[in-house]
Amino acid sequence: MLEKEKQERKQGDIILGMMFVIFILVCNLGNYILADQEKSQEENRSLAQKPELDKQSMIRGSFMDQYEDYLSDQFIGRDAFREFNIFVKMVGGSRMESDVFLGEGGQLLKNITKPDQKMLDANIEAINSLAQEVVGKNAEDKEGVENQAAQIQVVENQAAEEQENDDQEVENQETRRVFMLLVPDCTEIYQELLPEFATVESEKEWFDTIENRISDDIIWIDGLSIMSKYKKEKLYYRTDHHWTTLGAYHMFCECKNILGVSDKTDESGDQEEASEEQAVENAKKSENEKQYEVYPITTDFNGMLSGNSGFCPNEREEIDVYIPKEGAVSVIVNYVDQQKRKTSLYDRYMLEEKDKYSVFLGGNSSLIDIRTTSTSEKKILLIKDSFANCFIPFLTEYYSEIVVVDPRYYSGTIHDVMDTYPVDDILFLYSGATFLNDNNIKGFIMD
Amino acid sequence: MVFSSFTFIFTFLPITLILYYISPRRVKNMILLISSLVFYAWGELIYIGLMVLSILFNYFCGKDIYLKMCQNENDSSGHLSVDGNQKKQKNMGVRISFVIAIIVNLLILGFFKYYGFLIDTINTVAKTKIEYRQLGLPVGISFYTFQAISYLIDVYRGEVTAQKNIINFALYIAMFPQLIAGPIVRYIDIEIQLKWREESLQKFGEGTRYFIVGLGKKVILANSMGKIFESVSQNFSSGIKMSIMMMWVGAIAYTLQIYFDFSGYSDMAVGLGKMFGFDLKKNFDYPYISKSVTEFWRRWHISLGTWFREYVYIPLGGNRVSAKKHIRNLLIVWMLTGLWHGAQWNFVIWGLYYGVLLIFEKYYLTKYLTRIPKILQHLYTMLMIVIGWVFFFSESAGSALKYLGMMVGIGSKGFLHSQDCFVIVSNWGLWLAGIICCTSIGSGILNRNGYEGNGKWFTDLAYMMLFVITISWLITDSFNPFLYFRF
Amino acid sequence: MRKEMSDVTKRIVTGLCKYVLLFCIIAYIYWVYSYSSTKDVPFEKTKEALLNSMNDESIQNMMDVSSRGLKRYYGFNAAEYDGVMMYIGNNGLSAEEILLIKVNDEKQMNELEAAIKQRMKTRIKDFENYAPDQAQLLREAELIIKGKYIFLAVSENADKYKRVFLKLI
Repeated sequence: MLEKEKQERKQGDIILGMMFVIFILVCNLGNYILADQEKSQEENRSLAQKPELDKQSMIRGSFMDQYEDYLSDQFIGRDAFREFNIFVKMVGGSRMESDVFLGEGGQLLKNITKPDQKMLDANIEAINSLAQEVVGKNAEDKEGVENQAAQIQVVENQAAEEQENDDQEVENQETRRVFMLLVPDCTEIYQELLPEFATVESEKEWFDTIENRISDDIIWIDGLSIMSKYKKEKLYYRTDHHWTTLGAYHMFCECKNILGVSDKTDESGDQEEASEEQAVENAKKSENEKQYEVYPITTDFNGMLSGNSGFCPNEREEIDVYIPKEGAVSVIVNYVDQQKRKTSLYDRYMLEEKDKYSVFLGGNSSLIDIRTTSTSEKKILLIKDSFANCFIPFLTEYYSEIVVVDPRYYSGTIHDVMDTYPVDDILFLYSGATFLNDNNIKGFIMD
Repeated sequence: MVFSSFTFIFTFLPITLILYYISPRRVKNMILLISSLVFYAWGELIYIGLMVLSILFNYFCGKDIYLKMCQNENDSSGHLSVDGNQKKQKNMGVRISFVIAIIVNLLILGFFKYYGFLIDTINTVAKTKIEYRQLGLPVGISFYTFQAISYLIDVYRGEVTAQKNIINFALYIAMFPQLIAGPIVRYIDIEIQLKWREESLQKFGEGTRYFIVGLGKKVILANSMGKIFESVSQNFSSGIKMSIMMMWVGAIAYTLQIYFDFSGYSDMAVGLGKMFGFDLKKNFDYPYISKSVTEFWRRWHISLGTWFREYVYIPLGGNRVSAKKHIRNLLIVWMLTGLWHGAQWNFVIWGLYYGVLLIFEKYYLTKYLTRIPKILQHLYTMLMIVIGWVFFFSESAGSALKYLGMMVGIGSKGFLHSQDCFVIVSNWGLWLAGIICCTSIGSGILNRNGYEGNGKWFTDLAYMMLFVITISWLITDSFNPFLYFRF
Repeated sequence: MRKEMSDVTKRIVTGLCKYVLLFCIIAYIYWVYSYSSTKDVPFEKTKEALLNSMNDESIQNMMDVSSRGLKRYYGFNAAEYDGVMMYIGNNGLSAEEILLIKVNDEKQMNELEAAIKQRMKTRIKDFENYAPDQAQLLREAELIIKGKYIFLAVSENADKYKRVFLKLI
């Protein structure tokens, strides 16, 4: 290299050295001045705080790990860096981050992976054993009927079954039913929106397997077909893995008959169908009758998929709330473990957080007991994940009590719940993703 | 501690630099030594004692050997021979001291690294079931032990005098830039710098260039390739059948990962050395542009190759012996090279694989190789290298063969799946950057604006931009493994 | 300024230091081996050994909440780990607790450690006022992390249980 070039390069070195030092000093200064953040809105998680020095953690090295996490989590401009990083990655072709695909039209799609076979088996075994316990007595009688219950078009059988229900009031107990509804994930329904070449596991296959393996005591609701039927509408959020209230609404309307609820108000609360035709007519009337007013409770929603992956951070969506035009009921929502009572299914405080979906029932809780002023005497136990939260408001007109349990957070067993809260029906309502990957259900039912 | 962490870049390095530059010359080495000990202890508190004891032991051994040698010379004074035959007539005392010192070092290394391996092998072969307790591997033990041995041998050979200053000696062994992952510095190369070196703003800046580039290689390229490899590897381990392409994607991802990981770390080591006034030798010289396996090993992990050549190969006779012995020498050296990398049979196989290839090239292939078009030479070399890495990353010889089989269609499912295309296409930026940075084109792009006039500002900004992008990567990704940490 | 040692002395001292250090190294290795090496023991074996070491009286005063205690008191799901054993005192006035968890993955260790320490701190505060002797037990509790095991003993016999545990691993 020429002498002059060498000189120039040396000057360049000096300049770079200084830039480097200044950058680090400025960052350190900034980190020092800025107060530690407790929570990251964008990522929806709590951020590491200054670790404590104690002998055990120093020796084990966990203090060092914590310190690194602390520096990383509290770094100045963290959100900006993340956004920049995702941008760079996208330029380099990335269409998947943190297990979330960036699909066509800005639709974020969570990856579907193979579930753990052992865990799935355990869950199915647990649910079957519960069904055996709850419904088993009537197994032989119901067998023929229940297998057809899943076809929502076949309303006649429904009426027949309900006849049998009335006929078979064994002792003084009402026959209890166990339902299972798995809601497919957005990715399953909208696979065509996946980025070029991307493939995912087929939830349908897994759902079919589960449907075949659950006992005949359990009434299977074909969530996948229902969702597929209304595909053209906005069934899922673009930036969140949950379904929209519209999606829940369609699902509910289709399920009404299977669940055995209708808008006919009668004293006993149980449907006493005089004849088959009446049943069909009533059912049709149910679908048309119940009208809801749709209110957007927020238009500022940016969901979890966006927060986790970093894609579409500026997308804003609407969350709707469906209020019945007539026949609305009042509720008392009892958060049992927290010993709090509320009079609304919606928690407006949650709208100030990033995860605005938590406006429904205030997010996830271990055990909630909802009592309504519905004239129905039916009670239902819902074993669920967060998907059920925007589904529950549709149930309130038809049940006098809805007990809601999330096995991920509840530390007791189902028997504790059923002893305290006797119910008529049990509904397992899960999204495919949670059910296929959850290892809490077995412990909840069988321990 | 790792270089690619916030703790290092924003806490440790600034503090160490400040302390170093404000202290007077006499204290500088002490400061650097203490920070190096803190650096080591931060990652591995238990074994700091071992390293300190090893340093002290080797310090006294070195002095011991040297003193004995001096006495030896004094005793037979008056017979100073011109041709250096004197050196060879060492008396038993010196020899014994030397041998004991070397053996102790090897035993310590051998114990921590290989005793589990030894017992496992015995168990497999003799079908016994000896139980043993598992012991963690002290980080960097392979590196600092080899440096100590190189020092002892150089003293014994009379090429250097023993280091009198314990601080300087300790610094040689434990200096944090090269402590955890090399390069393996020969004492000869650094002896003078321990006492006389010049720090300057310019040198500091030069070091910054190396550091930023190394950090970028590690965090952006190596980690990302690592993620891709990990998913292929996990599928492979759980027995999922993948397509042929996917097996290749995995192997190539690993090929890139290990290069950027290790060379990135070496770059950072050189850069950090410069920041403190040291000039360390480079450890990698664009190995993937090699046109033969022989050339590859002149460009890959240069310090290790040099070490084995100097201290094992040449003493055994090197290539100045009969062909049979030469081949034997090569096989020994390569078996040891493989073994150095890890206490598993697949590493030994990897080493021998290269040994055999090198022998083959030397005695047979080279004359044909130089005649075929360059592109084929490159392809041949890359193919050999990738196959080598399959042995390296596999858990056993069996699974390596299985993997290789799947790469040619045995046991795999299909040639190309949609999902494979997704992995390739959605990472095109990384693949491109990875391939470019295997050659000197990468640094060419970075220095595109040159240094003339205002060009240097733009070039420096390019480096800073790279640094900022790297930091953004560090913040976002939590995946930050380091492959050579097992050594 | 130092007195220049004669060559002979230098050699003797150097040689001596060499051997002293060699001895130190051997001692160090022995210490490291016995102190920090780990044996991979199956969970059931460890659990059994611990239960055997708890005498009848202690066991009677405690209840086995292994299956749900982890979720209830710590918020963790027992299914995530290789093995969980949890015994707590059977009345509200007792802070006694024996907790043994074998993790599947080293990475789970840090959050367990943090959660246990956090809970201990809270409990000490809770017990301080109405059962100070229990608070003292908490303060003297033994928390050991070794290999893939994390072990907590809050009890008068904490020391004994700790030794049983350490001997096994």
